[in-house]
Amino acid sequence: MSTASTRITTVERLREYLYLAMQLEHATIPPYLTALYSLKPGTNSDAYHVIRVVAVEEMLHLTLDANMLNAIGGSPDLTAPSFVPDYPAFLPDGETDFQVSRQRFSREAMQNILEIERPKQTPSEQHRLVRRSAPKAQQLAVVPGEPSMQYYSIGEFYAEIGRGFRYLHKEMGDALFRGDPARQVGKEYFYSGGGELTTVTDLDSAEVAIRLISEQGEGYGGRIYDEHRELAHYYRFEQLLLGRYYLDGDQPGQPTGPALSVDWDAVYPIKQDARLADYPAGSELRDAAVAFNRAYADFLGLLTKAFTGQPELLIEAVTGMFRLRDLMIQLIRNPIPGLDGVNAAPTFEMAAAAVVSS
Amino acid sequence: MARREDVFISLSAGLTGYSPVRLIGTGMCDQYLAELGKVLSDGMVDEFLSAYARPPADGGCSVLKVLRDARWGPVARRVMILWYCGTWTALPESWHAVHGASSADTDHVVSAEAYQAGLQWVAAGAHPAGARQQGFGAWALAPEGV
Repeated sequence: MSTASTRITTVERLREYLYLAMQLEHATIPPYLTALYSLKPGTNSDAYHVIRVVAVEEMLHLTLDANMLNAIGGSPDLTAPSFVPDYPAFLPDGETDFQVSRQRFSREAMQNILEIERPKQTPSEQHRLVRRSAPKAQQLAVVPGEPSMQYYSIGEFYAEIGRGFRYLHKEMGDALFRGDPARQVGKEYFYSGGGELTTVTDLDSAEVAIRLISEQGEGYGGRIYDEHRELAHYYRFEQLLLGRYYLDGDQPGQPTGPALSVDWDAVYPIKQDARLADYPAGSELRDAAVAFNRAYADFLGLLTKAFTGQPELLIEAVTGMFRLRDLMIQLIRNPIPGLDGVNAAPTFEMAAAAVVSS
Repeated sequence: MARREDVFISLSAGLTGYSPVRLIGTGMCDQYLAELGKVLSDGMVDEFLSAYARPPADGGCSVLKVLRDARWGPVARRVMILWYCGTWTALPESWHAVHGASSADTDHVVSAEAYQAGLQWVAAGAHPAGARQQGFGAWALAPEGV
């Protein structure tokens, strides 16, 4: 297959890519939150803060993708079927792909998360896309409409989006940015520790948004700190495995900052990629898991409204996330009846939530 | 024999009106059992739990039996307050005169987590003021369920 046919040459195609980018950013959130809330209260404060801040920044990336999609007249719908992947999902990691699961905090989970954020530039133009011999149902960062063609890395996926913006802007000029500016979510609606939310109204602001997403995730040009002296996600997670904080000026893999402590055992033993079917029918635990899925579906509905003309609702949606936290923690602390020493976890099954509430 | 945690949760569900999943979900079960042990003694906690676990001779309600018991009723009422407020309330002098004194039996907040985990917040659809993040501007939204 020639790479030419996968180039973004139409606005419709760019919209498809941006929607898949939103799906991709969101797909990291259930695994991050599951690991985060599996930490026992009062322990692992270093790990808690590292994971929490990154999860908030993934929300920032999701919002930036929504701004880009809105800028070119698209319409984000986070309630569409299959927006939330069925876990385990599969993300690209160079020549191979790897599995992303909703699982408890552990060395393996952190390795898994490192693979999500790993900086990876394709060795050559021909390697930009990789054909997966057996495409899996939940493969992410694929060419729209070509599920067997996956990008070499998430960075390459975003690089194609950047190329698409530049190509179309050259063809169409500012007519590319035909979206309603009132749909842009500005920084007054989103507070985040790192990185600023930017509205997208022209080519420059689209490129700023893409650069922010790429730098926060993987670092930029092999550097571990970005121009705002912010450590890329990959290296923040790596600190937990290496037991030491990075300082500005450090080389990758060799942090020289203060030691940090991780208690790998102070974690609830939750079931990996738990499903509603794992909880006995009619049990209170099953009801609690269904209640969480409904609340999560409501949250995605609220985000969709915030991204389609009511940006002020983003404040309410973030508050809703704290309610979701309480429902998640409740599940994670409860043992599954009949399974000795295995605790429940939120299942993020949106199709089931829709069936139940209809 | 059932684990003492299971018996404690079952009794607490009857005393608070909240389900076992909700109570276990607070994460406070072990801490509250340990607190009771400090105030009463572990042996006395076992007696308290056995008093609940033994089915009443008349086939009535085990929770009511405990509440009406001269020795365990006052303890059960304090367990309710414990779950709702995260605080322990000292037993009356008259109780100590009959059942024994304990220097740990004072009014106190069990822990910072206990304050946050109090069922009072759930019941009110609210959040522990100043203690748990709920997002910028949340104070302008109506309580849950209102």
